Amino acid sequence: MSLNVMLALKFLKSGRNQTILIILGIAVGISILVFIGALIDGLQKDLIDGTVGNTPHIIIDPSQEKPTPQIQANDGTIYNRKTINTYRRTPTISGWKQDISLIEKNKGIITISPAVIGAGFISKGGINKSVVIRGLNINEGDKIYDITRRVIKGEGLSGSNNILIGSSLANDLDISINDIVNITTNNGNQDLYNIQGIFDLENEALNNSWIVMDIGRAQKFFNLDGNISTIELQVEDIFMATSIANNLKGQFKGYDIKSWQENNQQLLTALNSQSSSTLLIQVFVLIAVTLGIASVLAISVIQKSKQIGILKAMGIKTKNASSIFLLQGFILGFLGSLIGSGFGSFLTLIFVTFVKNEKNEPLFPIEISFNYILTVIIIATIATTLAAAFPARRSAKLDPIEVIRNG
Amino acid sequence: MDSLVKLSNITKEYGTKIKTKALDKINLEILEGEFLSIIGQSGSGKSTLLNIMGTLDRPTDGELLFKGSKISRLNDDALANFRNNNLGFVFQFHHLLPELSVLENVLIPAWITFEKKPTATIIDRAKELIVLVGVENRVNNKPNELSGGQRQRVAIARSLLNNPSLVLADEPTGNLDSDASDNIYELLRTINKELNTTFIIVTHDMHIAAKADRVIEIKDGEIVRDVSNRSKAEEEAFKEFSPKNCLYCKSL
Repeated sequence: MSLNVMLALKFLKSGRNQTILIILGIAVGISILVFIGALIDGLQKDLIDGTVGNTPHIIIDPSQEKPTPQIQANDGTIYNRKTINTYRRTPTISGWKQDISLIEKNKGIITISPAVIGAGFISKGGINKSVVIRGLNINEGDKIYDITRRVIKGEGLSGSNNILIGSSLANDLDISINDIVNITTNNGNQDLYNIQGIFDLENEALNNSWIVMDIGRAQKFFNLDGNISTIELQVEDIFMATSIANNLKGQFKGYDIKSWQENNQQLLTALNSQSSSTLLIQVFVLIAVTLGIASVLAISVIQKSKQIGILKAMGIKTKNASSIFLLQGFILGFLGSLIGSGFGSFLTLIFVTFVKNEKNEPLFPIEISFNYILTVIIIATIATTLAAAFPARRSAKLDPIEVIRNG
Repeated sequence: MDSLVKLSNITKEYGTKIKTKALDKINLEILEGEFLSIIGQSGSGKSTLLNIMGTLDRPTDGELLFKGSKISRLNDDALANFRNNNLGFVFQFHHLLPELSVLENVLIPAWITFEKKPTATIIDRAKELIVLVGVENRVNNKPNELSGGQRQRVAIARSLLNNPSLVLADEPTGNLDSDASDNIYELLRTINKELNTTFIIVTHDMHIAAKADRVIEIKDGEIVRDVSNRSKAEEEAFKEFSPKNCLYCKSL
């Protein structure tokens, strides 16, 4: 062991109470960093999961047709094409089976679900309500929407004229399982359907408007001729969605491809500002910890000035004398952040174990990330070592004569 | 005997606006193996002289030679190295590190030299020195468990570890009673004879000063007397510095 390491350890050991106090001080600071970090991380993951967990991450729509231009006659009269044209079909995807096999070749995509989406209204007992009709391949669609698991009455979808409807819609129309309802599409097709199940997607807007049926059935219902209206994807890493969407844009022309980020700018902005304010808190905690160390070591330099003076008289090099204090800063910072990380993880564990919602589940999942803790330890140790630089400079300037003369 | 330390025209001034001369053109040559004491009033410049010879302080002007080579122009790290290899220090306040044991304190100079834990050979040497100064039953004690005399003995052992050619002692007995002072003096004298280590001792104690080979008296930054006692009997030497003759003593 070199002299400076030995002396750093001996100095820390001799001022045991001071050392324990400052290590505890650092530990408390670092535990807050770890706890807040884990909490905010968990909260954000939960928010994102809540937002995009059971929705498509990328939606591939056929390009919307532009409204046809108006025509101005020589006399200035404006003619709208609609008066000239007949009914225009909403755009659909015809070659979707080939498209899906091409999409499958892209990395990072875990679910590809073709869907038919159309508007219509449901009638029962003289009451009409407008609805969104979603034709899904229930196996693929469930991977995104998780509907079958969330059926609260009846059972999952099994094709033919069976449908699932949202719980609020069912309430409003007083619908129960195996009721027969009349549904009319916006292009005028009409058919009778059997209510096979009622689902609760924990989203009032969806519970109030969605009707889910088999995709084949929906294609016929909307006269789509085997076409579909959209392809919905889920990706493995949701933050890769935009870059995957951009790749797809390069591969498929004539489609409107959007990632969840493009549709949720507001959420992302909120999350970003939350992250920034968390970072700000963490930086200030770190500054407080650093200042604490700097002040304790500054006092320590004064306390140990005799020792430093005599060591200098005996020929210790200035940089070695200074390094005694840098090493103390390093040791305090490392031990403090190590203990603080343990403490912070423990705090997080307590939070997960004892703070529960009414279903006796943790409020949101919190993961303690090893990498995050490692980063905190490294940054805190570097910061505290740097904090020791000021007292170390002081010790470098210490004149042995002053010390020796004054005893 | 060869010249060990030579001071030529050493001047030391303090202050920038109002200059105070602590030393004024000091010329002095100290030979290897000498046992020399410096006396003088407080503020006469004797400690400044010792600090300059010990390279803890830099002269404003003049040249300091050690074994014939100029050392007053070396940089701080080179001077630190020089001190570590050639000089030993004993101060009025023992300045032992309270955090370390007696043995660890004695080992510090070697620890500084090699920048790592000293070898078994050096540890053996440290133990021999501890025996020499007579605190062998305190090897693993901390300084605050020792008496004042014992602490100073440890400090002496520490000053000798790196085999210095010169040991500088500033009031080494200043904090001790007269019995302990005599013991410390005898110890320094023994080391001087056995190891041929040169000693320069700044002291107030006339008994100690009179026992030295050579006594230098400083007043107002100048050497006013440089007396060799080597040929004289101890009592005669003491008489030389008795209140009647001693310039410094008269002022007491």
